[in-house]
Amino acid sequence: MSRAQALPDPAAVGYPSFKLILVGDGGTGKTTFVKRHITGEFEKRYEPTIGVEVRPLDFHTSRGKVRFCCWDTAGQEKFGGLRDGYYIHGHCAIIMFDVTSRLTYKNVPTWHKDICRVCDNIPIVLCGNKVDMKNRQVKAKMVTFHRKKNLQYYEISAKSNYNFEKPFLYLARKLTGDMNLRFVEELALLPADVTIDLIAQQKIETEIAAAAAMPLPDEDEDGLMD
Amino acid sequence: MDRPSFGVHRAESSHQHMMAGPATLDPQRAEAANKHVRALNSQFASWVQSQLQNHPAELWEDGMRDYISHASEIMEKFKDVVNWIRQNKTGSAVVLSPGPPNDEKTISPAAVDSKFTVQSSPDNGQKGPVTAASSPAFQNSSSPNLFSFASHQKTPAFTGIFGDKKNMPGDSNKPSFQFGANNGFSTPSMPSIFSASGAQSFSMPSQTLFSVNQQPAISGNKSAAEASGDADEDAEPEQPSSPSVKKAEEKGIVVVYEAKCKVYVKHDDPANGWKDIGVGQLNIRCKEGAEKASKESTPTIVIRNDVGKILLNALIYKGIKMNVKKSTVASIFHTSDGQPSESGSATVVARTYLIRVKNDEAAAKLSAAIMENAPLE
Repeated sequence: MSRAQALPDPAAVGYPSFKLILVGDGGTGKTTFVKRHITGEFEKRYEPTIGVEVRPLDFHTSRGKVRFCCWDTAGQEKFGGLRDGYYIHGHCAIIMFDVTSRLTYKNVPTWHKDICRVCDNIPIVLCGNKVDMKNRQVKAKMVTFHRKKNLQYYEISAKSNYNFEKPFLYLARKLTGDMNLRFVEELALLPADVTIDLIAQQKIETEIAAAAAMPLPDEDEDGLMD
Repeated sequence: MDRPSFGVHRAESSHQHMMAGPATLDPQRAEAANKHVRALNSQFASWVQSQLQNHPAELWEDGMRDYISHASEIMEKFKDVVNWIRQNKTGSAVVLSPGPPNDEKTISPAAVDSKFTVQSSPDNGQKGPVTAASSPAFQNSSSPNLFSFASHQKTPAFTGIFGDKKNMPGDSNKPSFQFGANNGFSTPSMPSIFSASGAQSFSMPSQTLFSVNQQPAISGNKSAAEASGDADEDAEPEQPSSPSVKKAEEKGIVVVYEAKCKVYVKHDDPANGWKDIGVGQLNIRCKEGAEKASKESTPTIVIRNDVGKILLNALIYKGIKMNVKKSTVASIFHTSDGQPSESGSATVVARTYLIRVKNDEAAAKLSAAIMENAPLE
């Protein structure tokens, strides 16, 4: 908990907050992964991150609420900027590679070296993303870097949500020192009361008609069929 | 050294020739055994060639083991043929009987060499040096004997084999002529019998040949794969992700409907269509004990994502309208602006949501569940 206090956050929230550094080659799915958590959307269009994007990400745990300030960094060299500046005061990190690209895994040691230069002895998770793709190149057996460096490895898919909460759970446990910490369901308080009058009724019917006219979103494979 | 061996071999040859007449060996079995041996050898030679081409700097131990393994299988499968040959040799020369079994198991290179020697045995009757060369074959292994015997027994089949293989066409003529002459001279009635047997056995072994071809090919691939380490192995079976999220226990609440779904919200700008807000678990909940479809039961729809975060938390209200299209249900729900979990303190906002479920049937069920629980008063 003392780490949270060390963080110079003027808009401090009333619960622990940790700086999470998210690194990895460009196109490995870092931003999509974070957005999946924050807004729930799956971003299909690839738009390289320029510099860094800081996004707050809250989780409800058995020890109360926890916030990760995700520093989503640029993976592409030309948009990198001052990397050391992004790493300073980092509490934890995620290194992401794309299992459909061998090169992104080969560059993992470089990212790890960069982080360790600035952040000493912080918990780090290695993530192999896009594991539901058919043209997989980096097999699970081929991933061995995490064993030598005492990292945790998770295979994930930002698209199908496979294991998508595991990296954060591991980091939350490490940072709190409680290996029994668990995510809990956000409490559903009494929802907003609804009063429908004639005007509201007509408005609702108009809106429903408009919704019916809109084309349905593309049916991507979200695994709802299981 | 050479002379005693030569003499002994001559005796063997003589005995074998005499035994051929009253043979009790099944010609079909002998022919099948012959084809198995040929198939194994050709596959092995092909594998050696490809290994030499692709992996010249690696040890080929696995392939060697596979060859010995398949050879053992053939010996076991055609035990009757092997036993007959051993018995025949025992009858002709008692001294040699313990030799062959040991040689079979321990001297594979010798066996390979012997096979090459046996190839030239059809010329046995013509040249002295050839006779001397073939001597090791009989002493070393029974597989060459299989080949040798089969050739002697069925000249037509022998010719056919060579014709099909298209190997050494010149040589195939001479052996055919020689053995045909021998058979004609000693037993005039035998040629027709052998011919019929050859025809029958020739068709059946083709299937056997096919099955044998498959095995060595597979073993060759395995060896190459293991040696190279570039094997395109199947990915490990995915382990179901263990539940990381603890279910919230709420007293006095009953869940009347559950489904996995994907949630969209209508964009503020209609041109952008639906905005994806994620995949989650949908629950329709009511207050326990309260009358169904009443205001007191406060029917609520709650959707949480895999981390337990609430995507939607709203009342099912009187007069709620829905549009069901394919596997989706569109409806308007009211949520608090800002934090969805905090009520009362913020402004209530009505938004159009689209809920996609597994299939059309599930969409119909969801729609029905909402209608059944909507307050009537």
